[in-house]
Amino acid sequence: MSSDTSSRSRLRPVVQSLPFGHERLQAFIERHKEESYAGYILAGPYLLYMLLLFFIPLGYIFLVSFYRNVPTGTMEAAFTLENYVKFLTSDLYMGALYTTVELSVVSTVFTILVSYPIAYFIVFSDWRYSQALTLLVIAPMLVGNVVRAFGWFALMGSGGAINTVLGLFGVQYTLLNTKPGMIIAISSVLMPFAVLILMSVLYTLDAELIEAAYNLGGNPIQTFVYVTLPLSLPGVIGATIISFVLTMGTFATAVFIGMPQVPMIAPFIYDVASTDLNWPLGAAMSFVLLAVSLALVYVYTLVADVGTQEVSA
Amino acid sequence: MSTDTDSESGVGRSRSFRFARGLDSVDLSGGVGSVSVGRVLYAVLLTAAFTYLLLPVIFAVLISFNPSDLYAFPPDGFTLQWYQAVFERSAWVSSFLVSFQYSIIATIIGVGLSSMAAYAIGRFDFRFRSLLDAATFLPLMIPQIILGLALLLFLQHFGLVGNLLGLSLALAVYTTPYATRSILATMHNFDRSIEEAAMNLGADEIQTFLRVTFPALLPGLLTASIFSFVVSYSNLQIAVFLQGAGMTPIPVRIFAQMQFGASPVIAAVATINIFIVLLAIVVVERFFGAAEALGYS
Repeated sequence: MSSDTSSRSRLRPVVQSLPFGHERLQAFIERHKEESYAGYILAGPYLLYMLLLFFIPLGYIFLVSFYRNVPTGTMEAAFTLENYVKFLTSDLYMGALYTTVELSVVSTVFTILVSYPIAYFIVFSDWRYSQALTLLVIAPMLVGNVVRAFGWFALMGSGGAINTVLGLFGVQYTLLNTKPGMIIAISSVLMPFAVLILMSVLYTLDAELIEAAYNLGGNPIQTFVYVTLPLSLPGVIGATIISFVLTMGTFATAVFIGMPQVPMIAPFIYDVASTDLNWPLGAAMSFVLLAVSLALVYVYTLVADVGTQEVSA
Repeated sequence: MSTDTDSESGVGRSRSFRFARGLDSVDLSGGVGSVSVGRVLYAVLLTAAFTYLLLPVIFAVLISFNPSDLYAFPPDGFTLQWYQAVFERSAWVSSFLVSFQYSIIATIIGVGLSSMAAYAIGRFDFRFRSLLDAATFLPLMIPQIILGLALLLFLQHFGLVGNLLGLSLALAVYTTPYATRSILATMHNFDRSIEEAAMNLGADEIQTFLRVTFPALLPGLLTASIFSFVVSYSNLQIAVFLQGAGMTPIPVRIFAQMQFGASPVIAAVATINIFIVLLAIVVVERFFGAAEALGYS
């Protein structure tokens, strides 16, 4: 018994108190812990960091979008709309923005359609390895966009695996640099996010409601259409929004699979800011992209709101 | 109105159940022996969805071992020559090192800040608590390329572009949503009564935290660290703006090499990255269970 405790304490050194300032910190905690602002003190460093490196940079990029570009790679403070005018009157950029919205909408819908069965299975299946499938979902997400975009590039190129397999059926079709190819690649990049969000909502569903639907004589499809799906709509809406916003900024996939035949906006933002060093224009383009994304998300939430009310009525 | 399947239950109900009659006739219970048609269809659908999800990753691994430098399928041999090529080029090796360095620093910053924020959200009641809870997702909610450019424009004023500190500070922002979620998930499952027991036995707040709360939250902190490391290691959109001479993160170098054309060497690098990520996931799973780690249980 005693040897047991001693070996334990060797593994996990017992800390009786902080090496310095213990009393002062303890007094500080006791003085403030019941106060309503205690949470803010604790979250303070995080809030400060996010203010400095998230909100201020985003505000600054908005400011810079009105600056005037100096061709040598600098900019001067000004208030001019010329960056926005340049973007909005360029057929190339506006075409890319339009393609971006188009591909984002289609990819998002496709992503939700393929992600829902996976999320549903992982949450509701009795299969003993269904939890382990979560790992298979998370793994591609963590591997990153570049690696997956590269994988799709290799699969889709002429002479790549998809080409070869299609060739066996006598079809000559190269997905690389086409819109269907882009949708396939983008959706697979988005899937992990969509699956995880759908799972988090499906887990909160009351299993008894689904059982009740079966007990009342519903077949699997009826149960799904009238019980499970309406109850999981918040997850579908959340997954749609995240997927859409992420697609609007598609970068690696857009460069590897799409450019130059299917241009999306993110590669242009990168080129303008990094190659041409025209930061004000890059900032204006970013801001339009952000505004368009948020506006479309807003419209979607309005539509989704009406939709959910109809279902729950 | 629409077809009145059930007029007693009112308009709204009959409307939302309008296809129920039709679906009544759908019978998925038929099948061969004990295998039902519905189950088979579902299994096929699932397999297809998983194949679709994993195909690019699996294919990158496959071609990294293939001697042909065309992306031939099926593979026509086995070779490690592309891995040798990676490790013989100091540019690749230095990129691996750079990515490891800033990812570790970003993880320390990100997890440190997020754990305090998560503790505040999980333990304290304050006015904007649920707002803060939702706001921790924000770095994920805007297109990454915009965050990258915004950080470039802002950080260049402080000489923080093209160096390790700048990359670390920027990617720490990106790790916070993942870190906060992992830690909150652990806090959610944590039984507070053991804290009260410690306090009743005479421990003060600091001692209770160090000897009860912290060890209990350790799995969440480690999970948060591993996820943070991996997401900042594999991030391109932010890293690409903050790179500099001699400071080329690995995703950025892959991206740059692709401009000159793909090669199996890139597949080998991608495979090394996949291996690192798999290793991280196995560690998380052994330690804590990946599903619980992200709060999905």
